[in-house]
Amino acid sequence: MPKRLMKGCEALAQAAILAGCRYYFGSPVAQQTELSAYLSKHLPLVGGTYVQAADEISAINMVYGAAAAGAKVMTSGSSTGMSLKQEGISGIAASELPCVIVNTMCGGSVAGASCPAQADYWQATRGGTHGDYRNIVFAPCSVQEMTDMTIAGFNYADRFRTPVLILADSIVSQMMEPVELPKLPLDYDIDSKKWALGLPGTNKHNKNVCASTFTVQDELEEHNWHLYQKYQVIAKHFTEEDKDLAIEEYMCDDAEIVLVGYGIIARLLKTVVEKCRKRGVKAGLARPKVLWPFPTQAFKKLAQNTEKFMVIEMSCGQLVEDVKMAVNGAKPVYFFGRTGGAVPSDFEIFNEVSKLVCLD
Amino acid sequence: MSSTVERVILAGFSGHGIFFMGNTLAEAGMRAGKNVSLVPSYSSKPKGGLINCALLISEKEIASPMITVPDTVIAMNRTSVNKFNQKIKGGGMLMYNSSLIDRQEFRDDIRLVEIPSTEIAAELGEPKTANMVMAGAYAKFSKLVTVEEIENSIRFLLKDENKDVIELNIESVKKGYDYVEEKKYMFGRYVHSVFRV
Amino acid sequence: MSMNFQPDQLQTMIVEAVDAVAPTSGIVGVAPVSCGAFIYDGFDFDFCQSLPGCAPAVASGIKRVRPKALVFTYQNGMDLAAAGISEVIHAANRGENISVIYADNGSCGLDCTEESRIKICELLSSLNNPVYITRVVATDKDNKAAIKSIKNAFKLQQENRGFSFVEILLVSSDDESKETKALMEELPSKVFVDKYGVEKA
Repeated sequence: MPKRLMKGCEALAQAAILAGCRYYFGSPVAQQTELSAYLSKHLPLVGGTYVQAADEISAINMVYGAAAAGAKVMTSGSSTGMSLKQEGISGIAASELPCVIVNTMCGGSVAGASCPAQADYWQATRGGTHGDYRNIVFAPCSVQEMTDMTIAGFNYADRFRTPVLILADSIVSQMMEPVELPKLPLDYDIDSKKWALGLPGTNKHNKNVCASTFTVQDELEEHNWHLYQKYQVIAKHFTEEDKDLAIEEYMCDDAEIVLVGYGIIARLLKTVVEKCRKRGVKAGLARPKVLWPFPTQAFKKLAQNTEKFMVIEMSCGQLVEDVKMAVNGAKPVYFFGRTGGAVPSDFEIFNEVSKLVCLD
Repeated sequence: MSSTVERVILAGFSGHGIFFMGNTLAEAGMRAGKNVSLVPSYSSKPKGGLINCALLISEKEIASPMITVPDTVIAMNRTSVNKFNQKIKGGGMLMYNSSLIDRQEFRDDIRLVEIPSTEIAAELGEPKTANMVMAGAYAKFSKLVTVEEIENSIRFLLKDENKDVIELNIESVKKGYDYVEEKKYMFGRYVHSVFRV
Repeated sequence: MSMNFQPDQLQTMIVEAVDAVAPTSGIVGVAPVSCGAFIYDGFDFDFCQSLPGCAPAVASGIKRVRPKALVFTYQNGMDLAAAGISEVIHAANRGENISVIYADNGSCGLDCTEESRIKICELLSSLNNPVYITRVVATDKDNKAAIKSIKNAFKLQQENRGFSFVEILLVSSDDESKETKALMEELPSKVFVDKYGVEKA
């Protein structure tokens, strides 16, 4: 199949359609306007439904309903919208409903600014709101990954009955790159989920209930442990079966310093690694592609061979905590970050790295 | 760095067709079998805000799509020249729309190419196609895209437009290319190896 | 004031109305938060819980996926008139093909402690898209009018007409206090919108 030049968020939208998503609820927001625009044009062509919800809370609850009814469904938002959606996402996670949620991060709190940032790492990987739950979080770094991870996201969402978050930033969402769209069978049967609500027939005496509220303490505890066990299974899956999907390692075999970053930052880091290697500094790159479950084992292994880690982020330091936890004090973990919409340049990062290397 | 990567910044006001120019060149690069990436950056003003695109065309896989030091800057207005002039790599190229930008003390370690693109486009009937004139002029210098590929990408990108619009755009590209070929515009001391002489 | 919230009675009404319209392709109810969240125990068809006030949005999602199913929300004052007032207004404005059953006991706000009476029917009837908006009184002795209204709403939904809204004022039949009378005057029982004339038929 020939490659097509596409914007990140448009490729994501097309991938969603290919994955069988026929329902989108959301509204065009800066940094991913094209996603909504694309779906509003293309979903009706394949018999899908696009609803521009009045607000984000409305949108996530429509997703809740559509997912409960058995559809493959998606919504998207930029940071602010994601915060509004959190309560709904907690409900979706607790009710064990599959859906894909796209977050194109922007800088700052509250309204923030339409600029690239990675300040939502904690929100994304720690569940996001009250309740003991987690979401699978993918962090694409290229337009091709926007496509692949969306398709994978829909599959994992259905497989584990859990929301999947695509944590992109405005650069990946807005940039154009050639992308290869896979050909997938379009035979998703909306009645295939036996737990779904409103299945054809009179469904009397065979009712499905989609609930996450329990008044009896024992029931609630049982439910929470059930969720926890599911998350353990997911974590195991990403450390054992889908290892390659969880992390990308670049020139790490003999690296003395391993640079760590996700999303667009990892692309910059690749350039930095090349620069370092040219100047005789043995640098490598570890890029977590799945942020939750975090590839802890992979980092443990890296810690055995390398001397130090340096985490680079477009935030004041969020991913760095997960890396520190994974490395568990075995090797020092340094941090360099820019925030508020500033993207560090490869020169800037290189300077920081050389400072570290010269210290010894 | 290597001679197989071109880092180009396209800049101007929104309304100048900066993004479309970038899109066309990226599409042309992709059609030529190269790796490309295009990162737009714009202000929130619908018209008159500054917009720029970072375009990479490369033989190798592209690591970072961001540009710190551009090989080439294509500037459509004065503000863009001010913004990017100092960032251009020594021996790089500044190609600017001389219909809107006066010639003045630019750096002397880069190649300057003036194209009166708005005038050329106006002669063809529509000053809005100044961006395509620039794209054509750029094709003359670029190792990695050709006029034919730009032409093909315009036909693809504008496939929903009417025929006149497509032809006008293609005509503008050719005019830009011919202009550079006739004038052999070259100021500055250095000619960097990225470009054909 | 003795305004009894009578969930079992409401269930009876809904069940009777559902049986009367005899849906053939799935029935889904959407429950509110708080005590009403467990209303599904009393029904033998699919039910979905929802977040505070978001039942109309959840129902919209379900209905879009299952256009043939009968989808309704059951909401109380705290849910519909406080937390989710925007959801019901926007669902109504979109003309979403769902039925909203609003059990009003004359209060709203968290824990139903606020005595401000927001006239939802009047508010919604200013919109263009709802096809049926009505307010009825139901007591523990007489709930015929309420059942009929719910039936009308369900029928309209089955005919793909659009958004229908039934507000049921729950009053105890032996309550003859001044406050209750004042409330019933303030919230009169009437049909606000009836685009397809189902009330007379």
